[in-house]
Amino acid sequence: MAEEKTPIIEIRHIHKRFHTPRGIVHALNDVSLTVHAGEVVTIIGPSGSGKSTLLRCINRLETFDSGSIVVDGIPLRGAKNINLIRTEVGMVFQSFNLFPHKTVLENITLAQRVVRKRKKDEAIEKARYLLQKVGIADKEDVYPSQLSGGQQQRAAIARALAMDPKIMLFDEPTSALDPEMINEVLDVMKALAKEGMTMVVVSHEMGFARAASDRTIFMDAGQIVEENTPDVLFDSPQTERARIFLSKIL
Amino acid sequence: MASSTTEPLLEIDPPSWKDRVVFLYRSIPWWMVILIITLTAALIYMFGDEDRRQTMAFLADQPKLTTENKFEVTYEVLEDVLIVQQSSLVLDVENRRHTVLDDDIVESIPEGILTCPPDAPADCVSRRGKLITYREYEIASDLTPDGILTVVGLITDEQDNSIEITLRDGRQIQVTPEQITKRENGELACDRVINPLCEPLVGEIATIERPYILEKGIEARGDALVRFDDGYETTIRTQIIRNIDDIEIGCDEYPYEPCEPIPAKRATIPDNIVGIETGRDGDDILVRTVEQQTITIDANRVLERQPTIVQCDKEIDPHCQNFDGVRLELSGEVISGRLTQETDVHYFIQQEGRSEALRFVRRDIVNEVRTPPDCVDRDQNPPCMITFTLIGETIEGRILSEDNKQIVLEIVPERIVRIHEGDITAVKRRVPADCALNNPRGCNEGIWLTIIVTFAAYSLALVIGLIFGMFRVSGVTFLVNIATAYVEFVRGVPLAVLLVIFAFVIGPRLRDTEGIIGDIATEVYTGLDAFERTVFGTESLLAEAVIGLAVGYGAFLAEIFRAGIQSIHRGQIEAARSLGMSYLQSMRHVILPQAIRIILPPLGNDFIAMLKDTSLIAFLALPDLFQRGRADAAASYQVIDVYIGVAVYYVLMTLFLSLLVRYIERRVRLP
Ligand SMILES: Nc1ncnc2c1ncn2[C@@H]1O[C@H](COP(=O)(O)OP(=O)(O)O)[C@@H](O)[C@H]1O
Ligand SMILES: [Mg+2]
Repeated sequence: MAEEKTPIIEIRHIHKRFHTPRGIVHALNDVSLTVHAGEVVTIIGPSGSGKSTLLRCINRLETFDSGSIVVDGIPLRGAKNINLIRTEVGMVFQSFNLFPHKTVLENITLAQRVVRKRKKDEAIEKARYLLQKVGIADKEDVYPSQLSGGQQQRAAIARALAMDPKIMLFDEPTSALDPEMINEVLDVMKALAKEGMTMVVVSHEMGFARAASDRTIFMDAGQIVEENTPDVLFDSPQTERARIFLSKIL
Repeated sequence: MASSTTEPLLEIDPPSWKDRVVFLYRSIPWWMVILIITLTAALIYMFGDEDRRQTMAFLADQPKLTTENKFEVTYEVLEDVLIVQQSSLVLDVENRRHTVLDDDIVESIPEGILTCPPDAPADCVSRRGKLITYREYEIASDLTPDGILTVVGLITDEQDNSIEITLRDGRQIQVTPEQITKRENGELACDRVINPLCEPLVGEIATIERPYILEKGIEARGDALVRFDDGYETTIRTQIIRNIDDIEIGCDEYPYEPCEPIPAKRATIPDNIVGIETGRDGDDILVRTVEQQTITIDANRVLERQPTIVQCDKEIDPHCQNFDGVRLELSGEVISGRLTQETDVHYFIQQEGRSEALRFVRRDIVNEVRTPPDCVDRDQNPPCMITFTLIGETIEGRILSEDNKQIVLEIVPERIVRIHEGDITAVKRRVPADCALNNPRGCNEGIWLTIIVTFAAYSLALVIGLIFGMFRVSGVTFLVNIATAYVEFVRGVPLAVLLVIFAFVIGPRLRDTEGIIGDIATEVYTGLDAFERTVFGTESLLAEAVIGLAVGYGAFLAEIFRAGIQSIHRGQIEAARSLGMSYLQSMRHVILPQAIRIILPPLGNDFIAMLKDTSLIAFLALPDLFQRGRADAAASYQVIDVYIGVAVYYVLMTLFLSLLVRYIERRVRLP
């Protein structure tokens, strides 16, 4: 990726504390990160290290206490229309979060119609195209509960893509899946990466990270501990904390 | 063990008889069976043999076998009648009423003004309307008449200074001997419009001059004396006449006699027959009616009299009142005259000196003698004369006036009217009577009110509950606190108290408030009252009751909505919002549709509870099912029947709602 680099996500020194009954949790502690257009960044780290919180801050599902995030040139703090930014940033969740009362097709057309105000035919056409792309074209009329986990996650990816986002955020998209379904989802993600989509992926799938991502970030205790190419990070981590973590998951 | 999934799925053993029994057992809705058994047991316990038989008959839809058909029905039928005489009631400037016969009307202006004379008394009002100029005969002797009308009549009574003269139309007037210009024996042609079969009156005919002055008045109403086919005469308002035809009558009766057809008027009028259906005969409906009537009885016929309470017929008129009256034992009256017509049912008798033929029911007649023997009504020469005695009878009624010659009695006789089904233009009024199990139609009004109030209040409660439920989960401190305060306050006030507060405290207070709030409240309540007037015919506290119930239930529904919304996984709203939907869009398209599916059972539960709690609107004197039941129980002392009946109706209604809720649940259930 030697082309000119335009930063599309710029995170500067953000802090995020959660006030819980058991005390204050410093979920993000002075995190800075820049993601360029077309770049694929994977994030790894132990549970509770703040990976999800970081992702959720990027599309402001979570607010942050200090610092700044600029997405596609728009600073999140004080953004007038947060929904506009959200349409630019697609998000895929660990637990899919498909709408159970809508068919797969309706799941994908709903936001197009309500937010993008597309015509019904147009939305359906787009949805069918995306379902084709993620490989579940034959499932458009079934309800999410009738799909396997891998199919659900692919439908969720299609749903996010329907809004024509510039950035896609994936929060452990495969960790709720049975092993035999993981690859069908990763294949979709790889294809997406190949098309040049900017992606931030929280995932411990080393194969995917190595094959598709430009950079891998290791987070621990709310901080970015190490940032490297995936091969370097996985094969010869530079920091002690990364080495210990990797030895546990491998 | 992993091989189990690879086995061919189609090779399933057919179910054993045991499986089938278990399946059958599980598929029976046992709750319904239990309910039906309980209801049946209640009914059996409640009724004695006779009641049970009647209830069964009612369920088999033979209402005549139930206690009785407790309805007053007004059949509107179109009927042809003969107009005997038309008159107008006119008002003068001093609001005095005068009855003016059509013959005496000189001029009639449809749009006229009757102005007060210059020297008019203070209470004189100018009137506008149909201005009628008529001849007034009763004038003081010092007035100069405007004209003199010459009429002839039969002298029927003669005292020293007053002579009674019967005119052609049957009216009797008193004149002084000076007014008579000519007396001679002769015939006075009778008015065949009144009685097509009448014979000329023979006797001393007087020609009289009637001085009159012209008076003016504004018509208050027009009356017409009409005669039905069966000879029954009554006065009607001319305004109800649909149509008047000019006809000729009189000649077909005696075709061999030289005769001139007599012009007459026939009117089509809607006749209201109030009564209850007692049977059918082909296309005819037999309706039992009662009608107040005044009769005059020869005082000599009274054999015995007893004070009594005259029972009115509550089946026909549920609002009628029994009254104090007398029971008279009457001896049979001897009648003689010329038999002018005989039918299967009636004799028409022309008596000496009367213009009108009298009608007698053959059934009431004994000791009949005809001269010449075995003559018939057609006989002319000699005419068929008949003498008979009416059978003695007992009459109950209220004495209006009495002297030693005659008694005027108001009676409420019963008669069976035969209505041809095709003549019925409308069946107008059904006044339901007591609400009890053997007469569920009597409960209709209450049931309807209960249903209307339930649906209206529940719809409103849903809106209130949704709004406040969303406030509670909105995360906006102000809204959360408002909603919590509302829920906690209203949940703590008994519904009955809440209803009374809304009806008697908040409503009136709001309306009395100065400024914009008061104006809005007045507007709203005026609108609601107008709505009630158009829909129910009267104003009531209905709107207040609906609002009170809705606010009371809104608190419970708000909690249900809150729980429902909170039960939806956070991931749903996050997914929706990450797609760019606003908070309200996410609520509307993602959260609420799922939440409502979850909360349908508790919503349905409150729906049913609300239906039962509508019984509390009895506090606002609204005649719902319970209130009607209470009134009827108090009136009839049939406490068991009424209240168990009411309970059963509530169960049936809630059962219906249960099924409705189940149906909706099934419809929206996700795969
Ligand atoms: N809504 C929340 N309220 C309180 N604490 C939270 C919340 N979300 C996350 N946290 C805490 O913040 C820390 C980081 O969480 P998260 O970003 O989900 O970690 P990861 O995704 O890396 O497992 C954890 O300690 C977690 O308990
Ligand atoms: Mg996480």
